[in-house]
Amino acid sequence: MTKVNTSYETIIVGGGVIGNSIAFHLSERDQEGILVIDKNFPLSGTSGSTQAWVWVHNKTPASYAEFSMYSAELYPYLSRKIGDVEYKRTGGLSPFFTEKDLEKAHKLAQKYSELGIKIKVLNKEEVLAKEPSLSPDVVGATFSKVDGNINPFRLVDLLIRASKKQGVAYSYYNRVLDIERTENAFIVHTQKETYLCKKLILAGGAWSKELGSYLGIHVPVKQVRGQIMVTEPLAPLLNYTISGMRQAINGEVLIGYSMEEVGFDRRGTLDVIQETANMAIRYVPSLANANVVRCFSGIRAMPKDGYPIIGHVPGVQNLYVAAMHSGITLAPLIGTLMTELILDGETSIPIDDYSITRFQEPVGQL
Amino acid sequence: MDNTTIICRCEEINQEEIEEAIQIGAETFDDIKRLTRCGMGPCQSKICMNLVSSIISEKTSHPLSQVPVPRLRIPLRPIQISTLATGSSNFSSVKSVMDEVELDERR
Amino acid sequence: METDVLIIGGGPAGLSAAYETASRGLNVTIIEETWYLGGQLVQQTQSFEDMPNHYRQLCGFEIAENLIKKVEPFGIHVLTDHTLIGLYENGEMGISNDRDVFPVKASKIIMATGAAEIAVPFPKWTLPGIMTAGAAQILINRDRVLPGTKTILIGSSSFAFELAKQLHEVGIEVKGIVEQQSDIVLQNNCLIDEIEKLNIPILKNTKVIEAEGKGQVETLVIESNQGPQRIDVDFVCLDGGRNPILEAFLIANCSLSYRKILGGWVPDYDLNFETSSEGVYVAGNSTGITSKAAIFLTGSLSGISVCESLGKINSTEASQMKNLFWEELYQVEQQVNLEGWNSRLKHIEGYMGPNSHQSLSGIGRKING
Ligand SMILES: Cc1cc2nc3c(=O)[nH]c(=O)nc-3n(C[C@H](O)[C@H](O)[C@H](O)COP(=O)(O)OP(=O)(O)OC[C@H]3O[C@@H](n4cnc5c(N)ncnc54)[C@H](O)[C@@H]3O)c2cc1C
Ligand SMILES: Cc1cc2nc3c(=O)[nH]c(=O)nc-3n(C[C@H](O)[C@H](O)[C@H](O)COP(=O)(O)OP(=O)(O)OC[C@H]3O[C@@H](n4cnc5c(N)ncnc54)[C@H](O)[C@@H]3O)c2cc1C
Ligand code: FES
Repeated sequence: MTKVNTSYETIIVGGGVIGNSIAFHLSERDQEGILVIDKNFPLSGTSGSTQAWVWVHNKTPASYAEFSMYSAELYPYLSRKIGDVEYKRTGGLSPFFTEKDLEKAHKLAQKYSELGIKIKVLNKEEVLAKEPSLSPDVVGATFSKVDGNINPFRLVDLLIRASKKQGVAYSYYNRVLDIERTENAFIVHTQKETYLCKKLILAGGAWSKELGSYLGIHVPVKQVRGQIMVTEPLAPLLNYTISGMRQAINGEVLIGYSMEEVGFDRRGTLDVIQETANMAIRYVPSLANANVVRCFSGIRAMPKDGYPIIGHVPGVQNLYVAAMHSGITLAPLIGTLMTELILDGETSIPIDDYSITRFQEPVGQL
Repeated sequence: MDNTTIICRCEEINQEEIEEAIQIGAETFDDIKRLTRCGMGPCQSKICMNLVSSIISEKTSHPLSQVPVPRLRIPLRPIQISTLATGSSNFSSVKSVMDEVELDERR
Repeated sequence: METDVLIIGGGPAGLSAAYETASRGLNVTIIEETWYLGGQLVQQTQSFEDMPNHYRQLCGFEIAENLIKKVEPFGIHVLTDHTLIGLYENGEMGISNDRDVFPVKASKIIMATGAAEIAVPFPKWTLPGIMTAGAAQILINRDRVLPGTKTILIGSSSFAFELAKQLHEVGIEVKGIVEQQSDIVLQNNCLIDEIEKLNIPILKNTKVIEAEGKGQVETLVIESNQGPQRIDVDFVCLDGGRNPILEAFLIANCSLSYRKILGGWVPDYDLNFETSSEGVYVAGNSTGITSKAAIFLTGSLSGISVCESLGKINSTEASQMKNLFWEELYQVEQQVNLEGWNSRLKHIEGYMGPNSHQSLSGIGRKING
């Protein structure tokens, strides 16, 4: 393979929703020399196998819910800029089936209200009035207006199209194999070429650990598999995005999600699918008659403590990282804040809580 | 063949839509599937897999041996949720959002 | 549920494997998706040249009946209307009969899920009335339903020629066999003479332009160097070839290799027909599509290998038997499909390493020489 040295101002490694949101927002303000590299085709990672709720409520601590809410608020604007990503702010319902959870829900609502996030705790009658197909066994639910969902395929596709219009270059099927640092640049060795860049953004999702290791940086992200069941298109059944399932525009219902630590194995297992079927019927009994046409699974990039890892990597000039779970919810905000950080040196909303420094592990070794 | 020819009959995706996906960089069946829904229909790509692979091979000049088969998804056949369900209400790995709510502020 | 040997697919390959294993005292379970045993043989009313000796005079469904009788005495658990649908975390196969899903724990698994037909796309090929050649064959021979009165066949494998004969026999007007290429390549050239005798035109150098019709195919437009032609039909048969059905192998995480001559992607296997997934064997058209004989003989070979690994026969006896089956396969295929035979050995070599088939005593040398 011929090795050519091409220079870019900024290279973003990872063409999932996060890398592309950063590419889009950054190129909106600064169109010079941005390259996005992906080892496969975009959507082959986690962004192509996700429930894709834009989900705010039930997140703890409340400050993290607030952070997610800001992102959800940005979606209508993003849609206007890049095109219809099928964003539906349906409102989100988290049903529960025990009295213990009812107590938990009230406490959560209290915590949220201190930060100005409004959620309602609904009793059984209220839940069933809103979502009649839910099981009469439901005890109650929390409800939030800002929750919803999007079509992740369209989201990533439209982000790429818009970024390309703004001058961003893309290289697919081009794995980053190693990264070197010189005094004021990075040398990115890939399958196809060797690139030079001033600023480097690691947006490798579940593979972030590997990417960080090329630079001697520990990005504590583990892999957590999630399996989701998809029904045939059904007549309108769900009015809201339920924590556990949603109905897509074409009528398919996407159900469940599991948490399994099995590394990068993306196969589906019947154990989990059968459990998911149990859950489906427990939540919405009429789903018993629906046909499942496929299941899919994805690998979450789960930071060690569950919260996003975003921002500048201390000790390494011009190196940035963005790795997280709930990246669909957070993408518009992450793109916006990373752009501010890179171009202005500060962000309009503080991101210190999410710095990689919180893991107290040796970071940059140079 | 004209480019309005249907390739994926379940999802009614035509040749043109597949070629467009290839044009923007798709190289595998799964890449095309995520962009177009081709292969996501009831037959789960049994009918269209070969046809799509041939188009990929032709347009990218990759030999067919380098066009990987799509990732297989269970269940192999459409199946009712009631058939899959075992009736148990213990959930070991399937979660609800409420399970994840932790009220102790950690930070 | 527990069993020594789980066989997925009750076609000729699965049944051959069932015979070898059950007749040696193993507890055998066959999972078959349809309501009957015999697989794709059931609708075949022709007899075949490329068969193991003792089947040569019989036609497809008779061979199926024969095989079913042959395994009957051994108390095999036959689960028809049962389908493999997935895998459990612990490696057990998940089987469903539409009312229930359950795991089956097996010491060894033999997958014999056969081959699927490949469609031939052209504008409006999805109109009702346009079907695969196999579907038409099932309708006339198994279900005894005529799909129409006048048809045309697209594609020219020996299967298309066989089918043209059968369609003609049941009184359907066959308006031609369409082939894009300038040549027809068949293992058995007698078929061409037979078709010509029936006055069925063989249209070489001919492309399909499109189908037409309101809610149902009515006309097929084709084009040769003499210009376009409109053929009045009420159904159309597509013969785009066949390739191994891979689902079960993907579920079991078996590695695959691409072999054009064997039908496309084929699971990797060794001389015992064991795949890359330990304890999972393959038989029949799933091993690559070469000759009819291979369907039965690979079934027997996988069955013998399973018996050997479960201690039902000793290795000397096993290797004697295996050599016999390999020898028979070679005898048939050197006459009808040497290319297929060689490709199969290459496939094994690709997985096992160079010259790994030398152990086939005399046979191995015959190929290389
Ligand atoms: C089952 C499931 C359900 C989910 N549900 C939701 C939900 O409802 N709401 C929500 O907000 N989030 C949800 N998520 C999480 C969300 O999908 C992810 O957080 C998000 O997609 C992450 O995007 P990303 O761009 O960081 O990662 P990815 O999409 O994985 O992108 C990373 C990219 O980096 C590339 N890459 C990696 N290493 C290299 C290398 N060495 N060289 C070149 N390229 C490389 C990969 O190929 C990949 O394309 C869910 C996740 C799963 C698995
Ligand atoms: C429609 C059709 C018509 C054919 N007609 C001819 C012909 O006329 N002449 C000719 O030479 N060849 C013909 N063939 C080729 C045919 O494949 C072979 O003749 C032969 O039957 C192959 O034997 P096999 O045992 O490998 O597969 P098959 O006979 O196909 O048997 C496989 C069996 O596995 C079952 N099965 C598959 N998947 C599953 C699952 N997930 N769970 C449970 N069971 C499963 C199937 O129902 C089937 O009964 C035809 C093929 C097809 C598809
Ligand atoms: S033809 Fe494409 S999914 Fe069925």
